[in-house]
Amino acid sequence: MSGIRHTRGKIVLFFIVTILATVCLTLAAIRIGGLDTTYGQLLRGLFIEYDKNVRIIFDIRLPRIVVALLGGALMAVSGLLMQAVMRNPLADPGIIGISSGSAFASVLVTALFPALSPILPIFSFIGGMVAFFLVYILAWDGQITPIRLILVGVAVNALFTGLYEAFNAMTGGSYSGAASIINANIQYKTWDDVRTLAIYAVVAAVLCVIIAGKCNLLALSNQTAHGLGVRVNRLRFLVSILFVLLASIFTAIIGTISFLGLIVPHIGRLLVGSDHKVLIPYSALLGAFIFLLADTIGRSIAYPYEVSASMIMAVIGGPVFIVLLKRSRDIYGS
Amino acid sequence: MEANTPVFRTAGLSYAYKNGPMAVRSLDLSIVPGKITAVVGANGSGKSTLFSLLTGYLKPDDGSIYLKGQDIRAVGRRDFARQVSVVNQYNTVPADMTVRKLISMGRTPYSRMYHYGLTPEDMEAIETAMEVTDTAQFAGRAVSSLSGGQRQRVWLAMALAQSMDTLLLDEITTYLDIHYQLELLHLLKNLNETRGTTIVVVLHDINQAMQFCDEAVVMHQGGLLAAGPVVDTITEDVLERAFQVGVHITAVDALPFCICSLK
Repeated sequence: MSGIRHTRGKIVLFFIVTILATVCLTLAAIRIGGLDTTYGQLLRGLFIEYDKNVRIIFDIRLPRIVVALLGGALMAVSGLLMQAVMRNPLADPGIIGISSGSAFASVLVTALFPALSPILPIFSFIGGMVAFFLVYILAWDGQITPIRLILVGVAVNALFTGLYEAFNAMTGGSYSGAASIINANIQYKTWDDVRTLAIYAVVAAVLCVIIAGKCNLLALSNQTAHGLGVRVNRLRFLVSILFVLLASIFTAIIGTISFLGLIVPHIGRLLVGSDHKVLIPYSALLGAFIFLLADTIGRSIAYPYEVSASMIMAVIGGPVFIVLLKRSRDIYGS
Repeated sequence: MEANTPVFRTAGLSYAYKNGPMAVRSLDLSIVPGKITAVVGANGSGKSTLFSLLTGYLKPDDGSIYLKGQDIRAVGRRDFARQVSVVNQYNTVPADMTVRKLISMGRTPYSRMYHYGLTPEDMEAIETAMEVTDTAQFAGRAVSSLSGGQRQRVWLAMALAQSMDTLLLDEITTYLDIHYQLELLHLLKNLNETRGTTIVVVLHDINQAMQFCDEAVVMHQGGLLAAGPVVDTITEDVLERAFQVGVHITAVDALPFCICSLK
């Protein structure tokens, strides 16, 4: 699978490099934009005296950056868990319809019952679970092969995408909350969004710590895992709930995005190996970095216009997906 | 458990795959403790289905299976895995997983909720399993980089790390060259003699079954054709009925040897 031998030293090195890269990118992202301030001004404005520009950056740019970091981590781990459950390297919540199922539920609630917005992730989760079961049932033929999963997933994705886009068009308004879900637009995210995302992220992190060691068992055949005393179907179901939950939270707060959950775990596996106790935290870190990078590129590449992070991910992710599809037979080992 | 209580006993055991014929029908069977039992039979005779039923992977349509006198429906999965290890014919493992890591997974039935870290007992069981199977020499290598025979020894080591007293193996010599086949079978024989491990092994090679096993279960069309000590069960008459071939059993260097021909 990879030419890198995953020694403890190299794993630690990759963690340090990625943490440093994320810190540097975050610092750069704070300064990139219409309002330019020095870091000195920024620190003074935040902690010593009121500064109008710093206040604007604090209210507009910082929540967006934190949302990108948290959201990227959630989506990357969601994709990783999905690949573990389906023992399928091409699984991604954005590609096979989980995100669009969540988005459809979110769009419905946002447009019809805006008062329910604080509990939007719950409805988003229900939509994601419906899409997941639809894909699982339709793709099941004694087993689930990568190509069958992709074909069924693309069809389910198209169905829900069509539904929520049609619904959005019927309810009008391209700047509504519903539209921001569709476009994965994080331009107008607030500290309230950060708070919601952070609460779910903490819950998800605790669940991931509990489940990480068990995920390694999913890489073995069902019979082997069963022979080790594992209730395989129950474990798959629990991990499935977790990845749908992560993808749904992302969709409810940020919107739909493809390829993020696919690419990050793959890069993670190449760099730190397939042990989920290491791969889950690393994917979270790398996901945060990549999504913030995509958002930062998107808002600076054609300034003053913005290209959404989902479009940047699609442009990068499409070709990577094709390469992975061609190599899928030897990516997950023997 | 009394010393002569069968490790496994089945009563009226039946199973049919969806839209298929009965793969196992009304099977009454006992596995003697402390012995090596071969399960033999033609393709489609129900050997692998019986194996999957004994491991608990398949649930019987009818009948019961008893593990040391207790109905296995009343035995928890982890309790079962602490008593019985399973080595399957087909296995998958991530390409970069090391031998030591895979063998340590054998301690899963003893793990706690968080599944982090290994206890001194875990470490001892893993070291012993590697020593017995002679796999310590490639403990740090990726399982995927090993030869077929070496890999089977690693899977066997993982099973031994479960610290159990019964071992179920499904056609583990298939696809191995004769050297690795014999190496593996000698290893099993040694385990049985030195530790008293009860071994049930699905085998295709009749000669190996006669040479390495104490007991045999001969399957035919989902039913039991013969069961008991090898000398009484693997006979010319039984084999002719089981495989629909002509059979002549002779002795070569004091070992039984089976010569088959198409009828």
